[in-house]
Amino acid sequence: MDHLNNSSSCCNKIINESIEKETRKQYYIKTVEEFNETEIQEELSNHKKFMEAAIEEGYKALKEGEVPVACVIVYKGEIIARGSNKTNIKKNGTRHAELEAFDQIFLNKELNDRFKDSLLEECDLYVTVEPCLMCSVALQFCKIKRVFFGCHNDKFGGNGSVYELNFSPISNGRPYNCITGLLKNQAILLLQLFYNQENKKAPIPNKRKRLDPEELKKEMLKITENSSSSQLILNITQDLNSVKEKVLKDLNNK
Amino acid sequence: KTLSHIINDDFTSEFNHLKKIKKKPSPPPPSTTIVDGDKEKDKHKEEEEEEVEKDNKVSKNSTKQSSQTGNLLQLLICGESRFKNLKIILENVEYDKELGEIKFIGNDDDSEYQSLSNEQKGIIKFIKSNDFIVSIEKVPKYPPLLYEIWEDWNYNIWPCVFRAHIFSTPLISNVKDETLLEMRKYMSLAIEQAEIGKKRGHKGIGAVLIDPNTNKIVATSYDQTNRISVDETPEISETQYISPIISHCIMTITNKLSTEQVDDIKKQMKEQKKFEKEKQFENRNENENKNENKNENEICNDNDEEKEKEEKEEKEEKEECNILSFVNLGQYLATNFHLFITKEPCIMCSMALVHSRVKRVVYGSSSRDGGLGSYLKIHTEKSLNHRFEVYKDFMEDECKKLFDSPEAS
Repeated sequence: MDHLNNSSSCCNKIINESIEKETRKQYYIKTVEEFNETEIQEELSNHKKFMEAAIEEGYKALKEGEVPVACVIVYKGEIIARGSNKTNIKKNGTRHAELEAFDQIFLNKELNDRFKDSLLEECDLYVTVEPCLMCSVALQFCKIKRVFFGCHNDKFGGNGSVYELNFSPISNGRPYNCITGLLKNQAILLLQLFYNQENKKAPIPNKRKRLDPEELKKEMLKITENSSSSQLILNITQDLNSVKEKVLKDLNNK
Repeated sequence: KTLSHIINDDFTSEFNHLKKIKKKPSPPPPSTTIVDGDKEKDKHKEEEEEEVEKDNKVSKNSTKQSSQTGNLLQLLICGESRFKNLKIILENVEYDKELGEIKFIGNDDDSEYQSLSNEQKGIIKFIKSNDFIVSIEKVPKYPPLLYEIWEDWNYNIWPCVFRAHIFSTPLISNVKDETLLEMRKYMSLAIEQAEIGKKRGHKGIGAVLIDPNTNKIVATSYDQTNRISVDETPEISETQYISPIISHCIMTITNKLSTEQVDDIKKQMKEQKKFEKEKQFENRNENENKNENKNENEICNDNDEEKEKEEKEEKEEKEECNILSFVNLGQYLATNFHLFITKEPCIMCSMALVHSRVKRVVYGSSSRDGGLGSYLKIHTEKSLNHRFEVYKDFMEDECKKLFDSPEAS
């Protein structure tokens, strides 16, 4: 009961490893830069569009005080569902962006009827941050086709940083391809904006005073004016400003 | 510090320090015997401790002061090779207390004595003048792994440090019989839940969450991977809805927990607001009683002000309804709770347990691709920010009857 070494579990491990080797030949985890003159490079502008949509969602989450991780599910060039972290509002540590997006699909009657049997076999997922161990297995259960994400997550990441769970043989699951590094810097900047707020807590622990993201950006620019990385940040901020205008327009329309 | 420093200047302070370590009056060990503990200890130990590592295979002079019984002075003087020379010299040396000089009575070999360094001479003087007995004793090379061993070593052999390994699960043999009985009770509850799930057309897997401090059942649930049960009644209300592919046992139980917690908090907030309102009304009534004598115009103004106030209050209420403002109140997720489940959770569910900060998990039968022991061991993963205790194969046969397949829950 105490010791976890059984003969049966050892056998299982050997079987699992052999299956993993086969799946590793078929599927891949690659960065965007590794694709030269392939499908993905040709459609890069399309992929970036969807990723920007995910980052928009991230900004909404940031305003609500959540960890700004957001995702978008795309079926044949159309966005079906959007999701962002809701761990604080729902008081549930498992309510990550990916699961929220799944719920959107299965709560909608039309979408539910369409994806009841085939699940998400022909859908792509665009996330700002690498899915955690839990979500990367949940994506296998949903039988997703490809996953695009921005930056790696060294603590929880299930697609390359801690484990490579998109290859692992899981019953009822299907392995999938991963493409990393899509709009990486923007995703990192989003997280930085959030964690900088956290560090400057107000003296009263229950009510946190939060700095405006814009002020932080100005400070960053001030610091990096003279350094070589200033141009890079300038480019990113310009991109972000365009995204932000979109968000504001949407909010005003609503 | 060099040895001469210790002996000549700081000896008293050093001695006091050793005294402090030895709070327990220990029986003086036989000074001539050699402790052969090194080989035995090698089995237990994995890490090497810096202090002791330096003196690999050290020979230690445990010296006993005849005048101070009970207090044992332990001084590390030199390595084994140097110690042999020193012992030979010590046998051939006498000390004059009146003159304060050392006389060499050896086999006419003054050269040996003259070759000694000042440091060694000092040592010899010190030992001879205080009537110490010199002997070899072995010292633990590795740190103690159990508290009892540490107690033995620290007070009897050599001062050492005990570092508890926090995250390892206690052995089942160390668990009390009463708690084992309670564990059986809760596991049978989980099995009941699994039977309900099986009746409704799902997999036969059930789980129970328990608060070990109050022995209360916090939440129960079963596997809900089929959307609509055989009776065609939708299982999950919208507030705790999750898509049916992912609605494994543990995911449903975390959702139940969170919805209950949010409801509780909302109730508490409403009650608080009622209290505040009542107080405000009382205050207002008093004020109105005072203001009765005022003119009509002023009263009209008061009414306007009151309207404005009410509007403000409504705005404030809306702001306070945002759950974020009171997320920190009450129980945080599932901290300190124990979970009982009939089947080993899959990787997704075991990661969900990490996210919800469970303290202990007990599961029945293991599965091929489970996350707590069979395929991965997520509860011991170093990069994750939470670790918990796991017991497996608890009431295995009963659990296997319910759902026997390589799939994880």
